Amino acid sequence: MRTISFAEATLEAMREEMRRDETVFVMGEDIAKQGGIFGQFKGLPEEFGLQRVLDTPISEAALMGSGVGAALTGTRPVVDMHFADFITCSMDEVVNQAAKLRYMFGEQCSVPLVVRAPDGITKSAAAQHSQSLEAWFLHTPGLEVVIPSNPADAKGLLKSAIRSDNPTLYFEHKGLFATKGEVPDDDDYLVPIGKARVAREGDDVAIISYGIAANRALEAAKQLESDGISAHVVDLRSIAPMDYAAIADATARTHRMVIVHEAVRVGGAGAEIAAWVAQNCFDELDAPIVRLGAARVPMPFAPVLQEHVYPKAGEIADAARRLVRKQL
Amino acid sequence: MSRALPMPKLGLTMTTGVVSKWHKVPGDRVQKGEPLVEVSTDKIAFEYGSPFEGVLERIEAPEGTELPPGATIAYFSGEGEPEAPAASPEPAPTAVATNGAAPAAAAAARRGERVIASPVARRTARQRGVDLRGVRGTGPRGRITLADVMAAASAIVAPRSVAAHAPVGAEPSGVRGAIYRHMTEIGVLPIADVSTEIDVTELATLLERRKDVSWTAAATLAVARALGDHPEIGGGAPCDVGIAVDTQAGLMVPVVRECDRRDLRSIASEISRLAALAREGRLGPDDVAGGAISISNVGPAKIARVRPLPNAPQRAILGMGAALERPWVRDGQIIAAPVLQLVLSFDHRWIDGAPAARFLAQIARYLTSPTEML
Repeated sequence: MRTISFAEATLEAMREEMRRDETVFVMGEDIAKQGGIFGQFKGLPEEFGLQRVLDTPISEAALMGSGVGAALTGTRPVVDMHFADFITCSMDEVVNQAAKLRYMFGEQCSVPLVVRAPDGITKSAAAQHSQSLEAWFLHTPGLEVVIPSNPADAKGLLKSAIRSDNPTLYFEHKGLFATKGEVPDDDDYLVPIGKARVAREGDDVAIISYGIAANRALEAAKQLESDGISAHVVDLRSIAPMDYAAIADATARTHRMVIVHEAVRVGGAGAEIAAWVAQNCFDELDAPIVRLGAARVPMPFAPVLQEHVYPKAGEIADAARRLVRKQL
Repeated sequence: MSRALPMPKLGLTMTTGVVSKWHKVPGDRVQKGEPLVEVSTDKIAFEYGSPFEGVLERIEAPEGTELPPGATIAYFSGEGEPEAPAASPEPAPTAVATNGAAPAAAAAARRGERVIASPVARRTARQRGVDLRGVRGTGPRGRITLADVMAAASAIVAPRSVAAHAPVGAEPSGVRGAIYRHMTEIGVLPIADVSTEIDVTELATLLERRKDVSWTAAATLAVARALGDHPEIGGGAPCDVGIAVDTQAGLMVPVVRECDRRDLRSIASEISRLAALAREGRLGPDDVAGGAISISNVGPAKIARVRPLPNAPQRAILGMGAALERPWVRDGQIIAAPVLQLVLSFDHRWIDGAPAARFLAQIARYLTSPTEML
C-alpha cells in the first residue's frame, strides 16, 4: 500500500468519484484557482474543467443553497466550506432545507449533498477559525455527520459520503491534512458510514473518540501501556449514525470509559454517548463515565493559552489512569 | 507497602471462619485469584482465591485459628493495585482505608443502609450469589468494584476427596472438617422424631408420566405446602428448603429458595441445578445459607427409612426412603402397593411432638394425594 497524506487521500476520493459519476461536482471559495488551502482540490480543474470545479463568491448561504438545489435536481454536489466555522452563515440551508427536504417532499426527492468542513484547532487560528461544531448537526435529524481521523478513512468515508443519498457533513480536521498514512489504491475502497473502527484492543479502560482526538487517544494508549494499563480505543468515524454496538461492546469489555473529542465538552457528542451508556449499559459500569473536551471558552489566539484549552494525549492518559486506579 | 488480607465473609450467616489450610508460605509470590487459603465455616469449606497479586509477607492466622470476618489473617507486600491514598495526588478521601484498617473502608461503604457498589459489581454479585454486605470495597469512598466482587466470588467450594482419610482420632479438615464440627454441635441437641408410612400409588403414577420430576422434588413441594399450613415449623424463615446432596467431598445442603412461589417443574429444575453445582464443587456461600427446613432422601439407594439430623439452626428435617412394593391394606384387602416411609426429626427445644405430628401428617396427605398440592 502507498503512504500518502490525508489531503491527497481526499483528493484521490474526489477524483475517483468524479470519474466514476459525471453528476459529481465541487464548488467553494478559492478551490479551482487556488486548489484549496490544503491542496485538497489541486488538479481537479485540469481534469474535469471549470464546469465541475467551481469557484464561488464569498457567500456561504448562496453556496450552500446552490448545493441543496443542485442535489434536488439529481446531481451530487460537494460543497467546500473553507472553514467549518463558516457553516453558521448557511444554517438555514443546512438545517431547515438540506436536512428536511426529503421528508417534506415525501421521499419524492433526496439531497445527496456533501459538505466538506475543515474544522478544529491549528496554530493560532483563534476563536472564529478553530471550532469543532459537529454536535449541532448530531442534534439535527436528517443529516449524516462523518469525521475521519486518518488518510485511509478520509478517502473511504468521503467516497461513501459522495455516494450516499443523504446530506452528509464531512468534518476534516485542519491539523490532519498534512498527516500521512497507508491508503488503499482501489477505486472502490469505501468505508461504510456508521461503522466504528476498533483502533486498538484493550481490557482495562475504553477510550471512545473520533477525528483527530482518536489519534490523541491512541497516543494516550501508548503511554498507558508503559504503566501496564491496556486501553481499548474506539474511533467512531461518524457520530450520525452512531455505532452504538461498538460503544456497548467496549463498555462490556472494560467497564470503564473515557470519551474524548476536541469540541467543547459541554453539550458535545460525548454527552450524548455518556448518557446512552448510562441508560443502556448501566450494569456494565464499574466507575463513572469520564468526558474530555475543550473548555467552554472562545479559543485564545495566544499559542500558550490555546494549548490549555483542549485535551491532549497526556490528559487522556491521566483520566484513564485515574479510572483504572480507582481514583474516580 | 503492606496490605492486610481479611477473613472473608462467606454468606450472611457466617460469624466466624477457621483457617484450615494455607497453600502458600511467607515469601511466596501469589497471582490474583490463585488458591491461597482454605477457610471453613460451620456450613462448608472454601478455597479462598487471593484478591490481589503480590508476595505473601506474613501469616497472622496459622492453621486452626478461628476468627470473625474482617479480621486480618495475613499481610501482603508488593504490586497489584495500590491503596488509594498512596497513589492519589489529591487529598485522600477520609473514608478510604489506610494500612491494615480495611474494616473502616468497608464500614464507610456500608454507612447507612445503602451499600456503595458500582453497577457492574452489583450485577456480578447478583449472578454469582455474592452478598455485597460482606464485601470490602477498594474504590473511592469504599465503593465496591467489580474486582472486589470477583475476589469474593473466587471463594468457592473445593472438593477434597482425601479429607475423609484423616487418621482416627484426628480432626479432619476441608469439607469433612466442616461437617465434623457441624455434627458435633448438632449431636448435643434434643432431637426427637415422628414417622409414618404412606401408600404413594398416585404419586408413583404421576412421576411415571413426569420424567422431569424426581421424588425429591415432589417431597420438596409437599414440604413447602405444609410449611405454608404450619409456618411455626420453619420458625418464621422464608419458605426455602435445603436439599441434602451426596458429593465426592461429603454432604452438601444447597437451598431451594422461595418454594412457595414455585411449581413442581421449577422446584425440580432448581434442585438439578444446585445438585450439579454441589457435585462440581461450585456452590457459592449463599447457595447454602439459610433455609427453613431440609430434606434428606435415601430413596435412590433403595433404602426404606432414614432418620436424619436437622441442619441447625434449622429446626426440622424430613427423611424419606424409597417407595418400595409392600403388602398394604386397602378396603379390607391386602394388596401390593408402593409404600414410602417418612421421618420428621425436629429440635424439641423449639417444636413439640404434636405440631410435628400434624406437620408430618400434612406432608403425608400431600404425597398421598398429590393433586391437592399441585
